[in-house]
Amino acid sequence: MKRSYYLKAAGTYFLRMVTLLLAVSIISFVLVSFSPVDPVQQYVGAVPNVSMEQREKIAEYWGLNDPPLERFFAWGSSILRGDFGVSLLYRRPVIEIIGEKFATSLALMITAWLLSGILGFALGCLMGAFSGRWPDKILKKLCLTMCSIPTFWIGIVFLMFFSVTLGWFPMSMSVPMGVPAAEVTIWQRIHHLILPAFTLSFLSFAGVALHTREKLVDVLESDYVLFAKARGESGWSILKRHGLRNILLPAVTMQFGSFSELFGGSVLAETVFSYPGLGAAAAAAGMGSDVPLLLGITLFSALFVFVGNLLADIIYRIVDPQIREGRSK
Amino acid sequence: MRKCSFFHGKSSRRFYFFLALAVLLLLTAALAPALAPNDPEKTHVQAMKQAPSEEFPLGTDEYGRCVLSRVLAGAPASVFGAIGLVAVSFVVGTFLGMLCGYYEGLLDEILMRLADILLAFPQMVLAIAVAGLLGGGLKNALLALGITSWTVYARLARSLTLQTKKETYVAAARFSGCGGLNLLFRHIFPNVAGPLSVTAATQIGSTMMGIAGLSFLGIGVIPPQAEWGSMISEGRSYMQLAPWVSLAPAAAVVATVVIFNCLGDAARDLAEPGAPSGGASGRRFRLSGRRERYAGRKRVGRRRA
Repeated sequence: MKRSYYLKAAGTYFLRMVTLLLAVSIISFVLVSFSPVDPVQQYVGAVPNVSMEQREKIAEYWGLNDPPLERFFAWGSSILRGDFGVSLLYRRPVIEIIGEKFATSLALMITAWLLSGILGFALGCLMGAFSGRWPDKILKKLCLTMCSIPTFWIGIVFLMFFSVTLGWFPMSMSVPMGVPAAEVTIWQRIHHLILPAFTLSFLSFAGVALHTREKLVDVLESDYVLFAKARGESGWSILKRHGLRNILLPAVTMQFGSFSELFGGSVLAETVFSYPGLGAAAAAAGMGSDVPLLLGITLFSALFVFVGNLLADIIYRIVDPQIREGRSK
Repeated sequence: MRKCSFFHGKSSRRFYFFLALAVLLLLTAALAPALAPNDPEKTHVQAMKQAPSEEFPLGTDEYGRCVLSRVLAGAPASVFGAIGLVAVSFVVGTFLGMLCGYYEGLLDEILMRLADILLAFPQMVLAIAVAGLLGGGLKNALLALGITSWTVYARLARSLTLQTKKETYVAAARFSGCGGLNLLFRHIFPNVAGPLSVTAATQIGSTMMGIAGLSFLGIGVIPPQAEWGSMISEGRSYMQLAPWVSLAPAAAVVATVVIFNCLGDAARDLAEPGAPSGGASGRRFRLSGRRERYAGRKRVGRRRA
């Protein structure tokens, strides 16, 4: 009984992923078809003296004159074989670039994600516990203001203050300049990571804090907390036994559901710090109309967000006793 | 009773305060060309990167253009762009969402699947992809943001309509011969419009940040037209020499977004007096679709007698 339930769940997730990726690739393909970017011109680039006949040949070779449906299947089948094409900006296979850049981005995103999750949750609990009193009022105003500051602007401010004025952190990149890759120590990497990570977590930090506060205030106003107070439980014990237990689960799932914002924010944060990650690559590809790379990153980002939502769903099923009992019956 | 609290409560005073600020901001944006002390695109070779002075109240940038005039000239793009986009996605999303909730069936299934798929993209990445494929410019940037923004309203409108549809007054209207779109717009729409417009108000701020972010990356407004995001981006390379060049537009973005976020927050307090406030960041609790889609909201959809 239980086993078939898990199998069924896994099947549903897999089916959902396949339909998602299929739909995403159709949408991307339609967008590309509407694009005014001429693929031959983009490929030829600044190379002079390419005759019309040569252009025709390239178009013929790529099958640009084929009907759209045929082109879609040709493209789709090469994607399935893992061939995402060659990036026009980097002149290397897209899949290689994505793998390499994502490894760099992942360190940044995980750090920022943990920072905003843990600190935001702690601050939210603090605000909720003091709800209505002055620490809460001040912190809430602060958070609402933080929510309104664009990521790229706070990045510039951090850069100016901590790197230029104080000289505590390096200006840009993910490793020191002029040092061979093999000699870069982990400390140097972390040193380069700190400012971008704080920048990336800045916006979501305030969001998490406000959300946690809302939930905690809801819980603290409930009847069972009133009853706990009547029984004579202390404030700390109420917070620990009734508050945290009820708000932790939505907080965790929301944090896993925020992968989309995390990825979007990394585009801005990485651009500000010239951090060589996937976000900065996406921005560069968009600016340079590097269609193969752009398509690759779009598909990849959809997969990334899907994994986040999937993890949220799985954690919900495992941790939440209500759902666990309700479904397996 | 209700009217009373509408005009005299603490939350309503807050709402009108921010509404007044927002109106002031809209007027400033509308009258920007008249208010600007200098031509925003005129360069002054003798006055490059000048500190704030009487002639240039907020200094000049690297081409000797008046920063204050440029900040003012950038206001319409950000403010009207964001409000226009929110308005259009509100109308489109609400209409589609109500149709889905009212008729259900195949249309509902298709549109909601589409919304799920669009929500699977990080909005920023999708916007970059659209701008990269269709070319830059404010119009394409707005289109890029609009592709995903309607889904918020469509989902909410759908679940509200599903809820409201079961109310007795809707059945009464149906018995008295009202049906189809007439019923949908005359009896259901007025009862779902409240929460939807509150959502719209909270979305203005984040939309504005989205536009500024795209311009900052260089795929929003095309230079030399002034826009806050692109001005910050231009000014950051000589921020030590002339900090005012990027400080002024940044202050404008933050102030505007704060005003609209607070307005949305106050509107929510006003519309749902019991609801907890805060969290106007546009951050929603979202799972992989199903759960939220069918989760109805309890306190909405009652007709106010």
